[in-house]
Amino acid sequence: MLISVFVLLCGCGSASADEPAFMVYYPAPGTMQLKAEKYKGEEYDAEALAAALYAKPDDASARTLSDLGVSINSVLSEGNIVHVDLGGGYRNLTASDRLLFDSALVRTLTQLEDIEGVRITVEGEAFTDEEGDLLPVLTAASFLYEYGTAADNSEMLCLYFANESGNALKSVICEVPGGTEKSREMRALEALFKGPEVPGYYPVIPEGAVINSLRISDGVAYCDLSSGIMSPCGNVNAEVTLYAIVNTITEAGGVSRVQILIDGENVKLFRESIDISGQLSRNLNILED
Amino acid sequence: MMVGLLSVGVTRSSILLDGSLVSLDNRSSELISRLRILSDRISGGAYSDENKKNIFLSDAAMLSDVYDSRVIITDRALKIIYDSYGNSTGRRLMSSAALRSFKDKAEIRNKEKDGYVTMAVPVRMYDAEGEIYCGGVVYAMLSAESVYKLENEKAGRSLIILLLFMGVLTAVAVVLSLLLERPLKNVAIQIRQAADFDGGDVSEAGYTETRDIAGAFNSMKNRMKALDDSRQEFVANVSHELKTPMASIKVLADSINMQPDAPLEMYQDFMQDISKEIDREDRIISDLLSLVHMEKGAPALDIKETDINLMLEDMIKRLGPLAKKNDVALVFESIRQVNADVDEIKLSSAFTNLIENGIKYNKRPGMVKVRLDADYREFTLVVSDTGIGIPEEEIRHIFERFYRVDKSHSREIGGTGLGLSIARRTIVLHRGQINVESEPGKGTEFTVKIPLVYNAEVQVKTPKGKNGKKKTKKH
Repeated sequence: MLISVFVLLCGCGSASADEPAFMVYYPAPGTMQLKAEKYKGEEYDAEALAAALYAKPDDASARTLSDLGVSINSVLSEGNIVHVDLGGGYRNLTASDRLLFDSALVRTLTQLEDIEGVRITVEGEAFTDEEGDLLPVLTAASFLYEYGTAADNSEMLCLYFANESGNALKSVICEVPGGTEKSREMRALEALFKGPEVPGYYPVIPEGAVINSLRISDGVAYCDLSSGIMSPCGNVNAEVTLYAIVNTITEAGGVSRVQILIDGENVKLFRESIDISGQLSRNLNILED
Repeated sequence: MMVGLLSVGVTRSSILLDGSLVSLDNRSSELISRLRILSDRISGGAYSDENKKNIFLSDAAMLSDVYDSRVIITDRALKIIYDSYGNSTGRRLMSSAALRSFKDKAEIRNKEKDGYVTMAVPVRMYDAEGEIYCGGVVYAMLSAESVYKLENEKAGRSLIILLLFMGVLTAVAVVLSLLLERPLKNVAIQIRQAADFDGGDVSEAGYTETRDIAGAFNSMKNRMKALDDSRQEFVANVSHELKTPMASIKVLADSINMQPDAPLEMYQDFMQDISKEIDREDRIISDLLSLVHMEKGAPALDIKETDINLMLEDMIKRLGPLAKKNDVALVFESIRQVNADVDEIKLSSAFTNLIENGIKYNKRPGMVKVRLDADYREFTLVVSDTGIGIPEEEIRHIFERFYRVDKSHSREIGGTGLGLSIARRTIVLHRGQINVESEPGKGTEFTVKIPLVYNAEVQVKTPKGKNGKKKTKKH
């Protein structure tokens, strides 16, 4: 029985480590959610999983894909993409039902280790949505799951920790779970504060320091930290700590500049050595070579 | 103080309990109405040109900032076209609130779950045929934590205020008790020291209340002193009165013993005098006993319907000789026939006493007039004389036991000195009243009123009649 959900590049992040069984995700149009049930089959390939979506679920509120009026013509795995050709009934779905259908299908299929995406065609043709956009290859990342509804709304984020001597940064990509409630930047920063979970990487945040708030506005991240951040962390340089924070935030993708505040105040010097009164950009010079 | 604290504490808790939920509810109501506005702007063409779009997007960003909540806008296919967290464009929003809102074309606002409140507003568009369709969804996810943090701050602050309040109240209570302690203790000490009636007055002028206490205590002490004095005086008087006849008897007996050759007539004379003195003593003792008896409780009155006119006529007949002896004319004036419920024996002795006084304390020649009248409720007896009168300062004492206005002539005038007290007591027992007016040198007038019907239920306990007809003394 396969256990992993995603390919992990590092062991960090707190995604549920064991998923003991494969799940089949059914759309539940009543509650507008997905209902997960254990996969009862013995084959672990795309066709079998897709077929499972047509088997009657135990939960009465869940619907099979055929209940939605959509039939599967064919399922073909090619590399890490599954090509699924659907019957014409797919075109009759409302946008909301289609979203449920798509996410159920993609979520179920991408459980397979080597499957990363699903390409949907309708009667052999590409599908265009209401806005006139072509339906792309769908991956797990194509959907944004609401907080509290899915464990694997995780994202791969790039975090910066210290090297052994504490004088340079080392980057690592981690899977960080979460849903709609927090921005990527916030999740990345929280993971940074939590500390590295991989050997060879050393923490940059002193004990007792906390994130007061992180606000994104117009490409600038306003990062308010507690005064505990001013204390040193082990042998780590002030510069290393500071740019671990700045780089991690900017790497999350949404912003290019970071304004650091200490307990809500615009402070002149960070640990009496670095001027943080203005906005800071990413510093790649401090990376370990 | 306890009550005050309790009520403040309860009020605070109830305000705060509601506060969090109401605050969150208010916040999410405000937010959803803002989302509605955004949705209307989209329907109205906020995305139609670049300028409008930029303005719209910056407003959406500000909204997200102000409410500390993620705001997401989707297109018709539920793809994200705006995300205040900036990084999900193109993804499709798998939110039950958004999906439901899209499907039902209705506003959805969920209750708080896991610290967040989700809500969605559909973007209503009209197609070419004028039919409504859903052009997308405006979605927001409000963090309850920031609201709760505010409420907790409020709670913290109000707790501090409560504690401060408690502190102040405690301080005030302590100060007050310290302030009051000393004067109160002082008064208590003085009261204890004033166990002796003759001691000085208690005084503590610190506070009105302590002055009141001191004043009340002092007046009680003075009353008790007066009572004690009058008790001593009474005992002195009683002993004196009882001894006087004994002294006379002794004198008479000694003198006859000292004359061995006294003739028989002399012995007979002296024995008669001795006998008179013994009678006098006997009368004094009887009067005393009856007075004490009357004061003890309400003695049984032998109430019978009596012809008052007849009673008075008999009395006047009996007193005739005495009046003649004193050269006093006795006049009886009866306005009408009066029948009343009275104890004949006791009342006639009271009236007799009044008339006797009128005769005894009179001029030569003098007059005593007895006048009887009645109305439907009571009968009135007025005994007036042309006597020597009673001085003003003595009038209020005349009903006291053994009191004599003219102390020097008491022996010659005779009597026991108890007559008026007994008379007054009898009248009070009949639920009546007795008043006196006098002008020295001119005369005295006693007015007695007695109800025609005796009301047995009303209790008479003390000389100052508690219930029923209150006896008033006019001075």
